[in-house]
Amino acid sequence: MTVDEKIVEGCIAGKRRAQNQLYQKYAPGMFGVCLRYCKNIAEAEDILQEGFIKVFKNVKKYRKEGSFEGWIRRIMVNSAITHFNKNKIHFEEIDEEKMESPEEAETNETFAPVDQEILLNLIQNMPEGYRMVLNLYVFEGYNHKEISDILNISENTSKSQLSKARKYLKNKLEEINKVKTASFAYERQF
Amino acid sequence: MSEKYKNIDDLFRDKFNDLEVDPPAHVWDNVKSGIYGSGKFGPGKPFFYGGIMFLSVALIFLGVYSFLFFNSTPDINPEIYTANNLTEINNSTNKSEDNLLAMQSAPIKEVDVSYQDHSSSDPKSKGKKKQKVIFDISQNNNITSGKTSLVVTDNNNLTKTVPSNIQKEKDPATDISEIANELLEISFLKPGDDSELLALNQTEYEAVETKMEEINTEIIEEENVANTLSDNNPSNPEQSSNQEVRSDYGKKGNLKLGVYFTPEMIFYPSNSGFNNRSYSVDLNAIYEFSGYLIQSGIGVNWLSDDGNYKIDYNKYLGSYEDVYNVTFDTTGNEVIPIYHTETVDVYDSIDHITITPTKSNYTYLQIPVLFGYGHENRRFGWFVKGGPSLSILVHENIADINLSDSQNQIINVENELPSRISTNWQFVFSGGVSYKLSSHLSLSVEPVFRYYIKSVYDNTNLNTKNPYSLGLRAGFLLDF
Repeated sequence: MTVDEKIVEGCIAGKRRAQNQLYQKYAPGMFGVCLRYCKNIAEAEDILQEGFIKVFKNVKKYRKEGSFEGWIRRIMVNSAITHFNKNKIHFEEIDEEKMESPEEAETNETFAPVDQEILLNLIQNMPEGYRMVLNLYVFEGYNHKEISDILNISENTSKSQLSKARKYLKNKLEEINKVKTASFAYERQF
Repeated sequence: MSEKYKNIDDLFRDKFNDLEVDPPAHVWDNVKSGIYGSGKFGPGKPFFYGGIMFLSVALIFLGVYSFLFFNSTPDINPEIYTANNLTEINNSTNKSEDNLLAMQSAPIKEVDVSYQDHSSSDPKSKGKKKQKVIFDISQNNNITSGKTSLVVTDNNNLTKTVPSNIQKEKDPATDISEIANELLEISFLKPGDDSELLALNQTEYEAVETKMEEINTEIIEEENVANTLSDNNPSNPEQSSNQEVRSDYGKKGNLKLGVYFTPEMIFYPSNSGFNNRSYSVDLNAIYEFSGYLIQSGIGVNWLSDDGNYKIDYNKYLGSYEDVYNVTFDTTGNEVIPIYHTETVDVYDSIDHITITPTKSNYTYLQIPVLFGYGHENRRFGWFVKGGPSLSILVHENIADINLSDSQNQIINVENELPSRISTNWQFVFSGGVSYKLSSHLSLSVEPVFRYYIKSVYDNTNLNTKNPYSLGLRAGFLLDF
């Protein structure tokens, strides 16, 4: 029996120690996931809290078909989606005719590596719709049809939000690169 | 840092793939309070199962006690019937003295006999209740006197003659059989006697008449007590002097009153988090006719919902005295400023969220209308029944919001459980067994399945439609 299986069995039996072990093991990673979906730390804490309560209440339903971490992660993402839907963010519905040419993920430009903290800050400061679609598409691997079902929007809206999100991030990264280049040039002068 | 990304998605995936941030400690505290109640040792579960076990044991003890109590008294009844019949025999014999009878003889007849002799002083005979006796039965039809008499001769050659109320027109074989039955009920047939019935003439009847009167006197003394106790005897209603017992035979309908206790577990297939339990006490009337039954009545159902309050609040940080006005006292030699202040509370501008477990209690009035079919043997019976049941919410006790620091400013409260609707309908199906503890009291146990026609909650968006419940109904049936 693996460590995860022991922890799961303990949680099913309602043992506090196993619950604590599970939380200590997976909370940091899941908090990272929550931070990507939220505009600030307080919101991420709420989602993490709701998510773990669901995990402990439904741990007996875990069928051991996939990884336990993947199962917890799905619960966290679903909690974030529920939280997002509760806030009733209204997307601007886009007609196909009005759609701009989509911003491709792959461009001719290259992006220098940026610190994790800066990228997280960029994502958290994005408009909520951009952030949600970007997360579901890029990190969770959903396609636009699935995203449209999850968020109750049209596929075109999902595509448009992703395109705008990429454009937003690209612009921000360019700004950062410019500042970095200027800073580097300044340092070389002296 | 030399690696460059052409794909912006890859840049983000790569950077966030292993992002781990330790959450603040208070998150775990809130999670712990949120999961309170789940798990093996959650509150209420041991009580629920313990309650069922306690109820089962209590019912079994009550059943055994009732069985022993109601079966300890009827031993005297055979003698009761003996006393009554003997009196009747003597009376009827006196009335038929003028009849003309012909002498007949009958073959040996073997009969099961059951009696108890309370007047006997012989310790050997005590406790001997049932035995086989062989009688040589003869019927003495004395033409001259017009009397019919039966005579018993025991092993000590004591001859006893008993007058019979059998009419001469009856079939001889039938007469002998009935006479034998009457003889078996005569009290002077002592346990252990191998008596013989002989056909004698009318003159010998008078020789034992004195002896008969002595026996009658002894029996009549016990008759008053016996008549009272005979009301409880269910074993032979046709011979009972109790008109109520006799009237049960051939009766078309039967009315019963049932008192039940039912613990139930309610399941929500779409969301097991809503699963809860309930307890009911019901008072039902049951009308039975030709195996069919109709049941209805009224009951009270108690249940509770375990939920969570999600409370958005601003933390209380303290207070300060705000000077909203300054005046000056110039009445003295010096100008004294007077500060007019008010206390202003200060709250943290960051929203905090806490989740607190709550319990709301509900009381329903239940009105079932059930139809069924059943069959009852001497003691055991079985039945199946089903039908609609209406539940009306008559009382609810919604838990108050419990915030650890009462000075905190509550911004928003979200209840995980929506309110319950005031009425709901269910289909109830049950099948069970009954056990007769006495002629008027039965014990009944039946598993119950209840299917709710729609959600019991007031939120149509909530996916809790069509819950169902499983329970065990146990109770007592009073037979009128």
